[in-house]
Amino acid sequence: MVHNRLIKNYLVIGGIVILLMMVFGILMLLAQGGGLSLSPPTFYQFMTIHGTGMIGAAALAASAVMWYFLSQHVTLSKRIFKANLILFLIGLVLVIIGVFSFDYASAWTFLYPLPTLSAKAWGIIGALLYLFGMLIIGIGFLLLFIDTGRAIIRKKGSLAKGLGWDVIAGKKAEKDAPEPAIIAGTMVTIVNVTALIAGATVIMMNIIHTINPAFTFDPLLAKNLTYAFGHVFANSIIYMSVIVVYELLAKYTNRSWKANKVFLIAWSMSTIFTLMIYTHHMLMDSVMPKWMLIIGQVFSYANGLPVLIVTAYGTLMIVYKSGIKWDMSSGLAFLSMFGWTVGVVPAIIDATIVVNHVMHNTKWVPGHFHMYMGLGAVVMIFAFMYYLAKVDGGLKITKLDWIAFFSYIVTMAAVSVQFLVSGALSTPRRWATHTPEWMGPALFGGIAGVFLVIATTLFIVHFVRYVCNET
Amino acid sequence: MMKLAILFFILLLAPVIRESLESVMVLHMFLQLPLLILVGVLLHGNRNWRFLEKWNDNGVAGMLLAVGVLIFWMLPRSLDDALTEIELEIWKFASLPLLGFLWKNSWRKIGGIFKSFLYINFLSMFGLLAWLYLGTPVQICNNYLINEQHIVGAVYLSSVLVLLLNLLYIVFFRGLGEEAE
Amino acid sequence: MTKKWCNRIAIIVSIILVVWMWFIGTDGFTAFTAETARKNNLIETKPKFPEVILEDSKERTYTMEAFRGKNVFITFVYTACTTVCPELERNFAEVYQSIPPSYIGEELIFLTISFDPERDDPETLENYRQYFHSDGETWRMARIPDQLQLESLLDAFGVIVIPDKYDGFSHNSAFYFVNKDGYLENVLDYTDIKAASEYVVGRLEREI
Repeated sequence: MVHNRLIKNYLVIGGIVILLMMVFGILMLLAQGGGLSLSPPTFYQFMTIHGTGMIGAAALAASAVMWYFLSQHVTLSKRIFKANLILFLIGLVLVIIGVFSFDYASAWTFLYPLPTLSAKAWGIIGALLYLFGMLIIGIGFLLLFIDTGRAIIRKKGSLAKGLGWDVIAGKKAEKDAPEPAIIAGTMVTIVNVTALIAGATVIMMNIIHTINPAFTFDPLLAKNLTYAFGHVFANSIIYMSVIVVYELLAKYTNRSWKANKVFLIAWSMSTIFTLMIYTHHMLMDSVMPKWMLIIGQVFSYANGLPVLIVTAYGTLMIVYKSGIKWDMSSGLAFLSMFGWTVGVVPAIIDATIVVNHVMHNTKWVPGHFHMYMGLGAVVMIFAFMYYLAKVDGGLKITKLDWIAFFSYIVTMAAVSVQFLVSGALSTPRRWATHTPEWMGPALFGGIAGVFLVIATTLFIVHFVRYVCNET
Repeated sequence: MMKLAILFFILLLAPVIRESLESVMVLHMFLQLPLLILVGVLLHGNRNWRFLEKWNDNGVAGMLLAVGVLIFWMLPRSLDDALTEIELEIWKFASLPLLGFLWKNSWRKIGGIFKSFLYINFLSMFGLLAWLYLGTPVQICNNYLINEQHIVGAVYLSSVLVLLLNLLYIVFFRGLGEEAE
Repeated sequence: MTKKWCNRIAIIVSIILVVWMWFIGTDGFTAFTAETARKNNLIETKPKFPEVILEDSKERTYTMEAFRGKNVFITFVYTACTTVCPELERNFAEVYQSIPPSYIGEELIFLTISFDPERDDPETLENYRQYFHSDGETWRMARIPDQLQLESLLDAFGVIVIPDKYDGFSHNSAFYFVNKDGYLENVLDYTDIKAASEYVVGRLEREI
C-alpha cells in the first residue's frame, strides 16, 4: 500500500474534525430552536469555526482520497503530502486560538472589511491569528496541488493532456485516454491553484488592512476574489472525493472504468464552469457587471451537471448486471451519487436570479450545501474509509455499521430538509434575525443532528479500529 | 562577467545616474532595483563558488535569504527610507547584489516544487501590490506623488498578466522542459 | 553528513537574518510605511511647535504664544488642493462638531495651517473658511508668510510637501494635537473621525 500511514492520518484527523464540527452545528441549531441559550457573539464564533472546520477537514480528507488513487498512476512527493498535513494542523491551531481565545467571528468567508471592522467585537490579534491560520492552510494545499500538477505534467506532458484534450481532438485513440483519477486530479489542480492564488491575494490584503486600516481596498473586487477562492475550493471537495466512486466500482465489478470522449468533455466543461460560476454569490451586488452575473447564472445551472451525469450514468452502467456485492463502501458510494444528484437540485434553484430575490440569504442556502456536502462529498470520504478498511485491512462489517449507514441517511437528510423547509417558509433577509417560523425546524434539525453524530461516530470508530489493527 | 558586473555597479553608483533613477518611483522600483539584482547575477557568473557548495548545497538557505531581501524591498517603508537615510541606501546597494548572487546560486539547486511555489507566490504578491498601488486612496510613499504610485501599480499589474500567460503556456502547451532528465 | 548539517545551519541563519532585517526595517513590525514610522517617531519625541509667525484669515498676526494655556488641534492644507485637503477639512469639521461646546475656545482651539503662503492670503483663507463653517475664532485658518519659518515647522512636524507639475502639492495628512505648553502630543489618523474625537474629548476630560 502506498504511504498508507499518512493517508490514515489524513482521514482520522479529517473525520474527527468533521465530527467535532457537527457538534457545533447541533449547538447552533438548538440555540436557534430555542432549546439552548447562546449569546450572539458565541453563536457567530461557533458558526465561524463550523464553516472553517468543515470545509478544511473535508478538503483535507478529500485530498487524501485523491492522493491515494492519483499516486497509483503518477509519482507524488510524500514529503509534500506530509508538509500539507503539518501546515494544516498549524493553521488549524491558529484559527482555533483566534476564534475561541480572541473572539474572532466573521464566518469562514472573512468578507472584507469585516475582519478589521468588527465594531470592537474582536481585536486585531484575533483577526490576524485567523487570517494567518487560513494563509498557512492555503500554503499547504497550494504545495500539494503544485505537486499533483507537476506530477501529471511529467507523466502526460501537459495539463491539457491530463484532461485528455488530445483524445477529444482525435489525435489519440479513446483507449489511450487518461485514467479517471488523472482526469479528476488535473481538474482539481487547475481549479484549486487558481482558487488559492485568489485566496492568498485576498487574505494578504485583509492582513494589510488589519495592520494598517488607512490602506483601503475596493470591496467589490475583494468580494469577487473571496468567492473565487471560497466557492471554488469548497466545490473542489466533491471532485477530489468522486475518484473513489470510479476506482471502487471498477474494483468491485471487475470492470474497468474507461474514460471515453463524452467523459473527457464533461470533465473539461466542469473545469471551466467551476471557475466561472462563483459570481452567483454576487447576485445582490447591483454594481457587478450584468454579463458576469448572467454567466454566473447560466453556468450555475450547468456547473456540476456534466460530471454528475457522466458519473451517475457510468455508475449505473458499470453496476448493471455486474453481480456486484453490496457492502458498506459500495453502498456509501452509491448513496453519495444519489446525494449529489439530489443536492444539485436545490443548488440550481438557488442560483436562479428570480428565486434569489425571494429565497437567497434565507436558510435555503445552508439547506442546499448541507445536502450536497453531507449526502454527497462527505459520504464519498466515508466510502473511502470503508474501502481502505476492507481492501487493506480486511476488516469485517458489523450490524452496527449498517445501522449507522441507514441512520446517517435519514438524519443527514433531516438536517438538510429542515433548512430547506425554513428557507421556503421565509422571506429574504439582510440582517441577523431568526424568525419564529424557523424555530420548529431548527429544533428538529438539532435533534436529528444528535443521531447524525452517533452514526458518524460509528463510521469513524470502524476506521479507527482498522488503523489500530494495522499498527 | 565579473568586470562587467563591477562596471555596472559603479555606473549605478554614479551620483547623476543614481539620483535620476531615484527621482522617479517607477524607475527606482523597476529599473534601479532590478539592475542592482542583475549586478549580483553577473557577479556570480557560471562559477561554482566552492564555499556555497558546502553551505548552500540544496539552495534552500540561499533562496530563503534572497526572498527575504526581496520582500524587504517591497515594503513601502524601505523605499522611502532609502531616500532619506544613508544607512538604508548603503544597505540597498549591498543587499540587492547579494540577492542576485544568491538567487543565481540557488535557483539551479532547489527542487521544482519550490520553484513553482515561488512563481505562483509572485503571482499573488504582485497582484496584491498592483491592487494596493492602483486602488488605495492614501499616499503610500511619502517621497513620491500619488500618481507615480499608480504607474507602479500598472507595472505590477502588467507583470502579473505576463507571468500568468507564461504559466498557462507552460502548463497547457510546453510542459516542464527541465523535468526530462 | 557535514554537508547536511552545514545546510541546516545555513537555513536557520538565513531565517534569523531575514526576520532580523524585517524587524529592524519596520521598527519591530510596528511601521510598514514611512508615514507610520514618522507618526510613531513624532509621538515619541514630542517636538515643540517652533517660534513662527502666523497670519490668519482676519489678518491678525501672532505666534503660538497666543494660545498658551489652550490645546491646539491642527491640520496642514493648501486651499487650491482638490483631493485630500477638502476631505481632511470636512473630517476636521466633523471632529469640531463632536466636541462638547463648553470646551471649544476655552480648552481647545482648532487651527488649519496653509503651506502655500503665496496663494493663500488672508482673503483666500477667509473664503475657504466659510466652506467648512469655521468661525475664524475657535477654528482659525492661517498661513506662515515667512518661507523659512514655514519650513522649520513642516520639518519639525514631519509634514512632507512635494510640488507636483500641476501647480499643486503632494503631501501627507493627519490631525496634530499640540498641548497647552506648545508640544506636539499626538498624531491621529484623519480618516478615523470617531477615534480622533474620542481621543480629544478623553484628553480634555483628563485635564480637568
